[in-house]
Amino acid sequence: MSTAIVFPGQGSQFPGMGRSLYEKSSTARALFERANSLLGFRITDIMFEGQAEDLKATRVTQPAVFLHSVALYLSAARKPEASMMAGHSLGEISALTAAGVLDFDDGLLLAATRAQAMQKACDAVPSTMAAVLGLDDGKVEEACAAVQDEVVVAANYNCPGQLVISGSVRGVEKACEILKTMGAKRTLVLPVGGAFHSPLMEPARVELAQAIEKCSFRPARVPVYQNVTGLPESTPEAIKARLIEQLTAPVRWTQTIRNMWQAGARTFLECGPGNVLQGLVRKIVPEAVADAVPEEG
Amino acid sequence: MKNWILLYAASLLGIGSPSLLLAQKKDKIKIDRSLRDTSARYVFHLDNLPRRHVVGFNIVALFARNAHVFYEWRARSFLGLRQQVIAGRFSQPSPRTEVPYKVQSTLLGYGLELVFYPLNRAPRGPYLAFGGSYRWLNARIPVIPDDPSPESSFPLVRKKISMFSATGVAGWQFIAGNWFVVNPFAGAALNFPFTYFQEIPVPDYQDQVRVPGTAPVTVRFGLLLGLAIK
Repeated sequence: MSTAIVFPGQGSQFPGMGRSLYEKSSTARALFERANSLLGFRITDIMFEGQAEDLKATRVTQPAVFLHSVALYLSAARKPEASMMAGHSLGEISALTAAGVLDFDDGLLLAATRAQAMQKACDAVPSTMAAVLGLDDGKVEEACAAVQDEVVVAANYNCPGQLVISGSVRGVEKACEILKTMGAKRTLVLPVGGAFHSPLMEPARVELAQAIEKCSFRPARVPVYQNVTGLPESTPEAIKARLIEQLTAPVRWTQTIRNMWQAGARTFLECGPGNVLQGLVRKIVPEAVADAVPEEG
Repeated sequence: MKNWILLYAASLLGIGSPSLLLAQKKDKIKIDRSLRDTSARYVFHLDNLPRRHVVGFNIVALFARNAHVFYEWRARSFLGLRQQVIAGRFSQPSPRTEVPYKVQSTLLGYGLELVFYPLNRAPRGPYLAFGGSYRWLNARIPVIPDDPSPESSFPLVRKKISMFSATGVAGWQFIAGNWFVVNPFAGAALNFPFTYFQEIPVPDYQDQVRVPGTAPVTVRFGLLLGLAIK
């Protein structure tokens, strides 16, 4: 009976995030101020006082979610005893930081670099994503493969019956038409300006790889299950390689949680803003206990 | 004189006489009176089976763990047609295992139909039934968050949906031993769910959510078993 800690990705942000943590914990306060200094702008002002639209800016969202997640974990006086960790998309950098693979500064700068590189790739090619509800993963993959002359792939295996596809605007539209005929209960084009976790992110992958090469990766204190394979890697080099691949490869969250369950995880604690991952964990493994890492009072 | 004798003889034999004609007219008048006074008897006289009520259940629905009972009442006077029947159908299923993204079950439904037996042999023989039904459905449907993202969770919530259906079915009612009803039927329904609407809070993208499982057109079929009652 072991505990896993999972870290959320982009999309979990909300106005006011991290404010109470900043006020309650001196450790967290120091990390927030350190982040302001490293990023060159006061991200805490946007997190605490900004509107939802301000938080949506890519250069803000990813570092903000990383900062909140890692500050919450590092500031905990009694850290939950985790036997394994994982992070959803951006959350993988948070998990690697919490597991000691990256230090705080490198993790934050990687999150910021990742965001900027992804934004550039989004601007280069009109692209989007769509959530597909109520259809088997295999059929969604089949529908994407049936789209000719356009890029569209399965990008986020969030939980059974909820998969996100990613690609060019036309490719996603074509895939949605096919998916409806195949019996998808719902296809919902998402208000995102990019095709994350698809081959269209190749320029961002190159840029991120350069940034990653400058960072020092250490062995993980606990296994970190990575998105690309849904499995933990044992060496820093392999961890680094999977992190680079992640930008153009799908997030296999369903498989990741199932693998963690098979490895003995029975309690999944979400560490970061929001509670999206708790909902996904319950859908993937209904028997699992899903909760949040509490802020220290 | 001879003619009067013949006429008298004919009247005794009951053929072709004025008295015979008079008697025939009287018979017709009697029948007409009978029609006005005892219309029910007249109806039954023309029918091959004097039954006014039929009750039963749909055995096919049992396989889907639904209770579907029906009652048929012969009310044939209001349109002046002998083959009219009014049928009421009710359904009340037992709980089912929940399946995401689909209508789970009908909590309660009732319907009213007008049934026409074109061969004037109600309540047996081929028939066409037209009507409507109103149902409350129990469903688990995805809720779209205010700001959906690639990492969003789309929670499934329970919703009660009310739906009107316009139905048309054709069937054949067999009555064995003048009591036991066997009634296969098949048809279609046009469905109008109208209690659930969600606007997607995505710029330039508004969409009416069709409740999964409430297809615009559905097939209706079954095998009714029951009793014909006087």
